Amino acid sequence: MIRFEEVWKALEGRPVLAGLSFEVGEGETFVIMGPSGTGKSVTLKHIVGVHRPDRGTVTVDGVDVGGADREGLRKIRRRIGYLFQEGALINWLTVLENVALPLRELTDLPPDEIRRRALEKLALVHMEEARDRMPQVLSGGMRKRVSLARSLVMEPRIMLYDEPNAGLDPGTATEINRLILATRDRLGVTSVVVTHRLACAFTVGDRIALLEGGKIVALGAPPEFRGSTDPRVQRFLGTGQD
Amino acid sequence: MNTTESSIRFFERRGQGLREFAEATGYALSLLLGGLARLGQAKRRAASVIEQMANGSVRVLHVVLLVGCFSGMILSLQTGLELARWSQQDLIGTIVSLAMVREMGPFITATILAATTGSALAAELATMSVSEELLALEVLSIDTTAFLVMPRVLALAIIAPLLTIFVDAIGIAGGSLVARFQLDVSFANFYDRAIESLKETAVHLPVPKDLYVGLFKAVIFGLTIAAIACAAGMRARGGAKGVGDATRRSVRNSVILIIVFNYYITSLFYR
Repeated sequence: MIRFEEVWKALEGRPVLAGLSFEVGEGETFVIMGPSGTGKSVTLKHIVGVHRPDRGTVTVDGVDVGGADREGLRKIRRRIGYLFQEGALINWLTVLENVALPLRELTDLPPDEIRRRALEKLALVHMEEARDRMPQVLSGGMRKRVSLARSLVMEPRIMLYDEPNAGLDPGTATEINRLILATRDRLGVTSVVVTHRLACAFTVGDRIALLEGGKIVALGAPPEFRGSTDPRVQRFLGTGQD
Repeated sequence: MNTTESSIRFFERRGQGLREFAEATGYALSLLLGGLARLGQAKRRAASVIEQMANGSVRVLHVVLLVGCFSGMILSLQTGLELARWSQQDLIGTIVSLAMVREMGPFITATILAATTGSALAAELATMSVSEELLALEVLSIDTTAFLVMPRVLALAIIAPLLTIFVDAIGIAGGSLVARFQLDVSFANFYDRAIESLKETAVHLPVPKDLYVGLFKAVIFGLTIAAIACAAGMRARGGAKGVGDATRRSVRNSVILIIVFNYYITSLFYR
């Protein structure tokens, strides 16, 4: 479904990805871990075509993202939901307007149907009570839940999560992890999760990859990954946040 | 560091500044054309356009009126004192009205709009840029030019001439007060001269040329301020400092272009 083949990328002259290769299957939750600055978020941005590889290919459902034109990219993006680190909600729109925004901008649905669908997604993340509130009065966890609802409103087949637990207390982080699992189970989406939180990775991941020096240095199912004797994995597990 | 090296670095810095200005202006032009190409969506986005118009006019109305009034008063006093030396103070009405309508009204309004509405607009979009809101819109396949740029461009193109009319009127009124109470020119004399001199330019159209050229300038300045502010905001990177830089760039580039365009429009219509 998502395939990276020998992807190289440099940003402002600094190499970020150096021959990155991996594949994510349909319905799988693939977790990318690694220290800060190793290119985790850059990897996600390649999947939606915000970054294009200097070398190598990124394909989504067999379509080359790097070579896609504007229309091709639009089609790929319509299949993908993206949860940003800080939520990235539009601060002059209410919670409900934020969630309804993609439907309002990209479809010809009548207003009642847009409202119904937006409320349905807000209920999925337990935020329907906050529908008339503004994003700036919400806590970090609430903003992420609203952002998740907005990502899901177009019913994507792929969900990308960029540090879904960053800046959250352990209780809220656990709740977000539960939502990631619930989203996968109810909607059957394929997910790529970028995180440096071990609890998140081991809770939601079907497979976990360790990114270091711009490429994957270890990959496996959670028990396999935890039991790895690779010193880089052991070092990361020793310093990673729970 | 020897003199040659410091000279090279001096020119490098100037060159970098010029390149940055050219890039920002090119991007602003592409946003402006994109915004104008999407004017067909104005009806659908009427609420957003009206909100931008209210933000850009109501909040700065008192400032433009105050500055406009005092500008007219200064103009009247400065020219009046000189004219009085030659007993020609009756011409104050002509000079104040023509100067306000042709040049000072549009220019004062545009400068204030660049410093207030334009900078606020740049800061708002820059904050969206550094907090990944623009990226989120892009990933959602939402057309940011239609959603963000078009309503702002249209709103400023409408409010700039409207505010200019207010500034023209209050500037002339301020000038008439100074003429009456400090230079002993009657209101009747001042306004007769003002109206007469404006009427003289209504040759090709029923509207005085000085007025429609001034308002045309205001529309161009409004479009310029909106496009430059959107471009500065949407190109912002790097947290709070990026927001500050975008705001500063927006005001600086707008004021430079307003002056340059002012010259060329004047040259186009009056040479």
